[in-house]
Formats: sequence, C-alpha cells, structure tokens
Amino acid sequence: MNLTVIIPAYNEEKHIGEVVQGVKKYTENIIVIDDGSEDKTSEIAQKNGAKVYRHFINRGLGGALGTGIKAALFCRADIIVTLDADGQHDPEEIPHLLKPIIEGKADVVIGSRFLVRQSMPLFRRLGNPFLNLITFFLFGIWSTDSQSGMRAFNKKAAQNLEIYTNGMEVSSEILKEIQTHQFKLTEVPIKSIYTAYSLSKGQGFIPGLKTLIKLFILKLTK
Amino acid sequence: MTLVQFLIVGLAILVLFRTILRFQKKKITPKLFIFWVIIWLIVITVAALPSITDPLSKILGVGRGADVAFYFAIFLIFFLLYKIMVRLEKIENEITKIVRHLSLKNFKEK
Repeated sequence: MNLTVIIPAYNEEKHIGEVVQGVKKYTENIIVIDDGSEDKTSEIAQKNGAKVYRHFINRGLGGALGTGIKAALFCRADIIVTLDADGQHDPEEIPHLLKPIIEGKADVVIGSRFLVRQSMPLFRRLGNPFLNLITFFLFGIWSTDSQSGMRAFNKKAAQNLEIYTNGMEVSSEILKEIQTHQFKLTEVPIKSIYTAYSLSKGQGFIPGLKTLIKLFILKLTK
Repeated sequence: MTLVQFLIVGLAILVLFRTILRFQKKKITPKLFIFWVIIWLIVITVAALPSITDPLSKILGVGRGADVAFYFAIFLIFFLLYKIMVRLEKIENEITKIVRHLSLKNFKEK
C-alpha cells in the first residue's frame, strides 16, 4: 500500500524540516508543494527527503492541494494524507486517520480539532463553528471541523475530487465534493498545536470574510 | 436643465462615443457593444427627461421616477460586480492550471 503525504507550504522554512522528519516515520512518499515561497522552503524540504513540486507564483492553499493530489496520484498513491506545514498537526496522528480507510469504513477522513476538549484561542473557537454552519447551509454537509487541514483520502476519492478554488475556501469545497460524490466521511479527533507562529499562519477576520464571499460565489456558479 | 443633468448627459455621451470607438477597433464584442449602448442611451434619456420614468414608478409603487433610476442603477452595479467576481475566479483558476502544469512538468524533467 502506497501512503503519500502532501504538505502544502508557503514560506515555511522554520517548520517544514521538522514536519517532513516527523512524517518520515510513516512513509517515504512525502510531497511538499512549495507554493511560490520566497524563502528556503524548497531547499529545506528537499534536504529532508521530500519530493518538492514548486509553484513559481503563489496560488493559495487550494491551488497547492490540487497540485499535490495530482502529483500523488501520478506517484501511484493508494492513500493520500494532507497536513499543514506550520507544525500545527502532529504526524503521530497519521495512523488514526488511516485506520477507517484501511478498514474500508470511509473514503475520506477529516481530523477534527473539535471532537476532544482542548484549549483554542477564542477567535478560532467562534470562527470555526460559524464556517461549519455556512458550509452546511451552502453545501448540505456537516463537519465538526470544516476548516481542518488534516485529512486522508482513499484513491477513489482523490481521483474524483475536483478542486476549483485557490484559497482557504478549498476546505469547504472538499466537503462539497464529498457530498456531490457521496463519499463515506468519517471524523477522528486530533490535537492541534497552537503556537504564536501557527496562529499567524491561519485565517484572521478579513481572510475569513474573503473565504465567505468566495464560498457564496462557488455556490452560485458551480 | 440643471447643471447636474448637463454633467450626466455630457459624460454619458462621452462614454458612448468611446464605446463606439472601441467597437470600431474591435476591442469589444458586438454583444457587449449593444449592451453598453442601450445602458448609456437609457442614462442619457433619464437624465435629460426625469419625468419619463414616472409611469414606471407608479407601476412599481416607488415614490418618484428618479428613485426607480437609482434602484435600477444600484441593482446593475451589484449585478456587474458579481459578474466581475465570477470572471476573476475563473481567471484565477486558469492561472492555477498553468502554474500546476508547469510544476508537474518541471518535476518530471528533473
């Protein structure tokens, strides 16, 4: 079984090395999408043993994930796991994500930060459920953590996933695709490691608002 | 005619001429050309003779004819804004496709 881990990264030279090292325990197939970084993300990822695909201009999370999935399928992946490059996710939790897929109970698994009690900055605690609700109203699918960056897909799901959006709104778009194709979705609890650094990388109020507008456009056009 | 009416009519005529010029130089499609000519002709007519919209205001139940023009203008702006945003998303998506293609191609060639 070929497990491939995709890590979209934009200016992540500080953490990409340790993230790649952490994943290495579980697979040698690590794909880093350097989404037009201006720092040493590519070099460091490569030095740590990842395959690096480079976007020569920054396209955003959705653009990078789309490239990563194509690359992984080209490398004959059977299961694809996506992970954030900022050190927010613990690679140790990869086996929990794989389990429902290996057992054939799910096509897609989302690592949810809301299934276990854990401390979370107030803005995130309010913002995430709000985006869950929006995702539910627009696309008719409920997730306790629609904006999670830690997911696993089996081959069938990855092959049928059609990603249109470029930015952070891709997380909700993936749920829309799960609903459209009627994939079996399971959520597993994950920890998330909040540091000042990983918080600065996530969505604030204005980008959150932009995500909202883009989701409405997606709903109206697709 | 008041000064405001003069200004609006003057500006609209100017833009109308520019539209015609752009069409002659084949910078815009016939469909878009007709759309804009109609829009600007409406603007000129309504600005010069505001009372022309009064019957419309009665049908719609809006106070004055001039208000109908305002509502219509705001609706049009929102509609165009929406069109532009959709178009922008499409262009963004196409740029991503190019970047993705190059990224995958460069990797294979390495």
